[in-house]
Amino acid sequence: MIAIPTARTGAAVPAPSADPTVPTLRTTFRAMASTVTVQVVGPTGQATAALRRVSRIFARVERACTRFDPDSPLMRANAAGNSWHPVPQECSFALAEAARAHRYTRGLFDPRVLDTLVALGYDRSLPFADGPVHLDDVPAAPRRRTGRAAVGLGRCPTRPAGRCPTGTQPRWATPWRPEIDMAGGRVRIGPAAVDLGGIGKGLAVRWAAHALRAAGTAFLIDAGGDCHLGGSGPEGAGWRVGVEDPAGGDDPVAVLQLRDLACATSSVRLRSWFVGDRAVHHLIDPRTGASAARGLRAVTVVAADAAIAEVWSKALLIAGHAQVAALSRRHDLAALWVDDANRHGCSPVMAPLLLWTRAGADR
Amino acid sequence: MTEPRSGRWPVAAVIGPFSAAVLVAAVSWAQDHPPGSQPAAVLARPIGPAAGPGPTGQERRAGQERRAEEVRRAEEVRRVAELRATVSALRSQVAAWGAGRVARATPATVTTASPAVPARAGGSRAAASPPAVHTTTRASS
Repeated sequence: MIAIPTARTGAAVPAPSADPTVPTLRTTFRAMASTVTVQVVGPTGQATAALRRVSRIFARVERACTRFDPDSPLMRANAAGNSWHPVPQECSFALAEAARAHRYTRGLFDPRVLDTLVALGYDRSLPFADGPVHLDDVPAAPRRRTGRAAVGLGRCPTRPAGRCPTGTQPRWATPWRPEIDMAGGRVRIGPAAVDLGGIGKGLAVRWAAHALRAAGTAFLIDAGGDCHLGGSGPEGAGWRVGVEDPAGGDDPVAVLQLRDLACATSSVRLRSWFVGDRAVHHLIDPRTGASAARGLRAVTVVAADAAIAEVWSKALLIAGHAQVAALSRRHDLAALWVDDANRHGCSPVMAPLLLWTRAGADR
Repeated sequence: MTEPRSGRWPVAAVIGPFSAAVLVAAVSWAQDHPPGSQPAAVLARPIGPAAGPGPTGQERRAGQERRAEEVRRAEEVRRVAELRATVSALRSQVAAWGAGRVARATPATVTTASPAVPARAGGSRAAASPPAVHTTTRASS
């Protein structure tokens, strides 16, 4: 067995396995406002080094892409607006991937939601896990170096469902074209500040999966719900992944059986809070500038890659109940959704991946 | 064929090979007798007591034969009704199976029976509770 430092530092420890003859390494650490768990089944001699590499990957992506540190490369580039700003490679890649996702989803995925989130009071890490969060006083929309208020919808809490009356052009109506100079290591984000938290975590899982490909016979990465399942799991039949009940029930909505696939869930369950007496959440519909409210509580997407799964789960939830089936069919997505009545449905591509589903189907 | 050791042929062994043909014949027959159709003799039955003097021996025999025929026809009508119900039930099963097959081929959504059932082989068919999982995909935490 491989040497084992303590888990609090993010180092590897042996984990109990269903098959005691198969050694398993596990490490847990905090990164990107999430608990990250990495498990390697049948570790090779490279496993310990690979696990250390994984924690470094998460730390680098967090440093580059966090929006909670005004001095992070992303926030400095946001503040630079229309000026070029040097950023580390992780930030350039995340921005390029976000721009690609924006095109593929025809604008449903739009990272230009930072000012809206700040206007809703989500300008710092909020204690969602400790119970309901109430914000009575929210900050004003930040101003850019361009000398004018941020383009977009501005301060939205007074208009729950519709566009905010800022008098500015709706953000979704303007195409997002950030400029990225990969060779020069600099970016020009444009007038609207971006939040790369979600796609950044998906990319961290993608890169971590690449780092673990030779670490063992199978591996699992769980970054606060964004997962990559490498190999066939401890029992060789695939990794069994529960899909959380967004209503808070003990049993999952479904159990997936995955091999060499990633999955991500977007849900309004956890990162929700109150502004005054109004409930809001972090998934902003770029078409309205308000928290998405189109009949879905959660969407899970399975894809070859965690960043793609993350993008589509968010885009489908924002698209809403009326469009989720058609959209996932059109794009051949493996999607499972739970609506506001806590009924679930899934796309044809998802069906073969389902090992178990609970009663209560959608439609 | 070798006689079974018990000396008696199982009923299924005798009926089984013929059941399909019997069913086809029954369905065909039931289709030829739509609901509401009645045997001609039943419809021609006289209403009220017969007029005139008492029946002769020949008339009594004719009356007995008519009543026997009526009983036979009534029994036939009952059997037709039973067959019709069976055919209806079979058609419902076929329709349900066909719908299930279509739904599996091109589902808009996957539906589950109640209580929960496994979506495909691998779980216990009777399991209402989920199998143990290795991890959970959830709202970002």
